[in-house]
Amino acid sequence: MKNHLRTLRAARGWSQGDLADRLEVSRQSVNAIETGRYDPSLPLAFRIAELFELTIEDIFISPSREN
Amino acid sequence: MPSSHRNAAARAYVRRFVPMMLGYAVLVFAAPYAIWALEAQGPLLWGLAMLPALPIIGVFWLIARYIVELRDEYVRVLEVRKALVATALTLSIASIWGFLEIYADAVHLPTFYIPVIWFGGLGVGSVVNLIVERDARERDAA
Repeated sequence: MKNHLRTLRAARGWSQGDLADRLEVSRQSVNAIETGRYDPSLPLAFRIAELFELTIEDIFISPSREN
Repeated sequence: MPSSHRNAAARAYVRRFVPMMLGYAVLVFAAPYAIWALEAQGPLLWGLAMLPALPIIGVFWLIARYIVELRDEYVRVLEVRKALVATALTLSIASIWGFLEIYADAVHLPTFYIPVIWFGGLGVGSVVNLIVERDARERDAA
């Protein structure tokens, strides 16, 4: 699923490792989510949204609204 | 990848794996000895003959526990993919060899080699994961 995670992370000056530590997941997971190779579970999506103080829809782009 | 996301589950796996293999080492010798010593027949023979399989079944349970206990959901997906690759490979080899035995007089493959092939398939699954991850990194970098 396309998302704005990389932009949001970069805006805060965090590396993938920094974000991974904050989310308590592996850097590999952050990379997979950022590149759209892996769609996180709802609990992890909520953790991401809460970390950035945004809604899930602000971070992840609905496939039906991509265009 | 920080290994801490695998470590706790991996440590638990190793902690459980060692006694399981010790049990296997004992049973693989004890079972035939008991069959001989007791001159086992019928259900007793079947029961004793099955004993060495129990620790192997236990290892499948350990792998399931390892996957469940992984805290990182993406790493869990990679482990599940590894197991699926191993399963697909094992079933493919079993299917091919079955027909080779029927039509080409290939030597009979004892079924206890099936789990051995599956464990080898986990190694192939690891290589598949490495290739998929490497390709993704290269696409990402391009």
